[in-house]
Amino acid sequence: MIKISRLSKNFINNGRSVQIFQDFNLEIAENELLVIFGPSGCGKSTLLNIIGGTEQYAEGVIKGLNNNKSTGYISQRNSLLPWLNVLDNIAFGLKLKGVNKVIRQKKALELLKEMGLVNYSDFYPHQLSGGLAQIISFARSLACKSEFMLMDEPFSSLDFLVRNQLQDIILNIRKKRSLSIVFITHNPDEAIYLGDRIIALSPNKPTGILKEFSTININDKESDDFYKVRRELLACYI
Amino acid sequence: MNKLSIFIAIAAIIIIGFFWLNNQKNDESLGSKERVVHEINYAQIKVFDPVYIALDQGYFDDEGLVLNLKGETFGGPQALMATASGDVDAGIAATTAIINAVAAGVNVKGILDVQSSMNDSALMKWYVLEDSIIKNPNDLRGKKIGVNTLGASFHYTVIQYLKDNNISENEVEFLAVPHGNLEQALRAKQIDVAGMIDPFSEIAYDRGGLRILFTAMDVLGENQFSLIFMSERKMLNDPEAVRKFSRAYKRAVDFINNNPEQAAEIIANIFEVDKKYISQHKFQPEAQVREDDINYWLEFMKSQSVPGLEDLTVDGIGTNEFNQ
Amino acid sequence: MKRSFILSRLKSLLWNNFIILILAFCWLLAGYLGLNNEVFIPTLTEVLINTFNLLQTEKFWGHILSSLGVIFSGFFLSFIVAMPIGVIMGSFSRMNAALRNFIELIRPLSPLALYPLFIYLFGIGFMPKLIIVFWVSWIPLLFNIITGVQRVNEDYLRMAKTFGATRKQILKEIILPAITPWIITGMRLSIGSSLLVIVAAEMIGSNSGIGFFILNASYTFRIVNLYSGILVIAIIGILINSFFLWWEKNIKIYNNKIKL
Repeated sequence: MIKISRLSKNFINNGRSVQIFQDFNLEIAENELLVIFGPSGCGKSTLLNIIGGTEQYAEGVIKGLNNNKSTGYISQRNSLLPWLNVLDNIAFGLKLKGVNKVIRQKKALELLKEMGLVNYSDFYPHQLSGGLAQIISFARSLACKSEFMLMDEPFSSLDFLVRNQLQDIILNIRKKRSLSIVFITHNPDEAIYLGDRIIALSPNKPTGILKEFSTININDKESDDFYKVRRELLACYI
Repeated sequence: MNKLSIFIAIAAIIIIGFFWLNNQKNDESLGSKERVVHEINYAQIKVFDPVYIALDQGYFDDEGLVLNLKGETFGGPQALMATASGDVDAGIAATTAIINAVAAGVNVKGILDVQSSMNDSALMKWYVLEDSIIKNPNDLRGKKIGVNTLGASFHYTVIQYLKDNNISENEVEFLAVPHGNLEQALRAKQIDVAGMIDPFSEIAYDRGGLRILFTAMDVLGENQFSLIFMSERKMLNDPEAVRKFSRAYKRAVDFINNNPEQAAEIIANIFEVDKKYISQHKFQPEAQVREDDINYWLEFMKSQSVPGLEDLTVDGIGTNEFNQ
Repeated sequence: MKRSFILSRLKSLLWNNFIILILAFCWLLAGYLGLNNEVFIPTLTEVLINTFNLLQTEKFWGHILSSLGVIFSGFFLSFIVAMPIGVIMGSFSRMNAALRNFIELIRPLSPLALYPLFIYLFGIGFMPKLIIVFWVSWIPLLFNIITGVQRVNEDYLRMAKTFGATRKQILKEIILPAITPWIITGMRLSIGSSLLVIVAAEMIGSNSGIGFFILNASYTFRIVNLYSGILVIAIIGILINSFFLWWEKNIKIYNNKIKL
């Protein structure tokens, strides 16, 4: 459970101060897939990075992150290391944690088998399609038993077929493991399909939560509920 | 004929043309008409050279010879190279360098004496630090000997010295160090022995802390090791100029023999050093080229397995023909 | 199928070396026609035969290995010095600002002019030659490393941090592999100047090395040897360059510089 209280942050842009967050509050429950939804530039990535600890903030308290659990991070551009093959990339997180070579490669192999991708273990990132690369990134975080994942528009640059496949992989993985995910997207269908809860961020500065949606039971893309939420979600921005 | 062939043909013509023109430049002096003005282009090397005396005393003017000092080369081989390319007609070079040049097809000959080791005037001397453990030839084993260049007089003289003392040249290490750096290298103990000539040897000795190990006199006795050389081209085209040069040169040698102090002063001015650093130089009678010494060096180089010397004769290397 | 492949490879080999082949052909022709100045320009055939003969002698190989030894040691020293400085300057812009001007100042100092100073400081023989090769190669390498570090993809760094990587781990697991292509390029760029400088350096206080061999050949008028020496240096340069290019290419396969 992560609790963000009274977060404040500003950027200096051309000598002028732009306030992104002011007194921002948010809670993320255990084992929840939270979608942060909004148009470009509203602060979604910044919020994600603050949660992930790679961005500073001026004021506020973030509780719940100090345990030794690792946080997975996946962005649009996969950050697979080009000089390592798929197997070593998946094992990379474990390597940083000091796991020895035999064990970590074994774990990586197991994951590949689970995903049906063993044949790719010797491939290098430049040989993978965009979709595959994203899955491998995802697998890397899984290998570290991440219970908390940050995903910054990971599927934006992929075509819809691949996108659907990957969305399903995520949902399947979640069924077998306890996994909290904060997922950024500006695609409403993806938001509703994947998310347990959606927060729609305002395009104004400082940003705030325009509206919250509970979508945990909405799984059918054709259902009325789906369309209803979709309309309401888009209505926030007109 | 496609474009490629045309391109190749043009390129070939240009490049062959370059070679042809290059050859023309050297041939053109042979067979040019007799000049009224007698002129010699001389490659100056800053050593004790009677030519400087002759210039200073106006001996070339007296002969009606125009002597042009060209450039400032660092040594015989460069002067010889300049001669081969036609830029100069004459200069100073060690007999060994002249032998190499003639063997390579450079058309020059030694015509006058310029450096000979003689009593009181050994010229080539080998120094060690005063407190050096090297006292006799056997101490040279495993030591570093600095000479101005390998395959020349200083180098060969040491080899002879070693031979005379039953030491193989492989038991010492020779390093090529230019004249100007020898003293510094010796004092910094980067070399153990330095072969030097004046003014460098005198300047170094004067500063103290050095001792002479041996001299060229000890090894070679009286020996002529450097000559004034002249290009065959000049000797053929303008023998009168060469004779004038010889006459003026011999007058300068006489002057040096009779007025050593004054001569030293003239040279000292040119080197811009104090005249006390200029050694007394002695010359062969009539500045003659000594065939025995040429033969000595030729045979020595042959014994060092220097290639290409089989067809050389002593009179192909030096001549007294312009020195009558 | 195979035949046309060989033909096309031959064709591209000819085209890539077109000018060299033309010049060689003309040289051969000039020699055959007797147009060359015998003293200064031996025929190509003479040079090739002489070089071939020299390569059979132990002494000549001694010279080659001596020069190569200095070059490789110089590169190695450059690497050791440039790496830490480069990584620090690339990672911390303040350090970069502090050191950059000084380095730009010493950069144009001619190593050949400094050579007598090197001899004074380091003695005669191997050391000053090593220092002079080091001098011409470490700064290009340094600048390449700095650029390489600055260009390391932010995503990788961020990713590593989210896995809790320590500074040391980031250096070892991300930065070092990422800058390897830059290091190789940096070294490759220094080959030319290293060869140039070592030939010059071997002309003072040396009794071995290709530079020494060439100079001695000119002093003793063995002009063919001079050409052979130059030819060997050219070949060495080409070989080392090709090696680095091959290495660069291999790494580039999975370390695409553009994306980095």
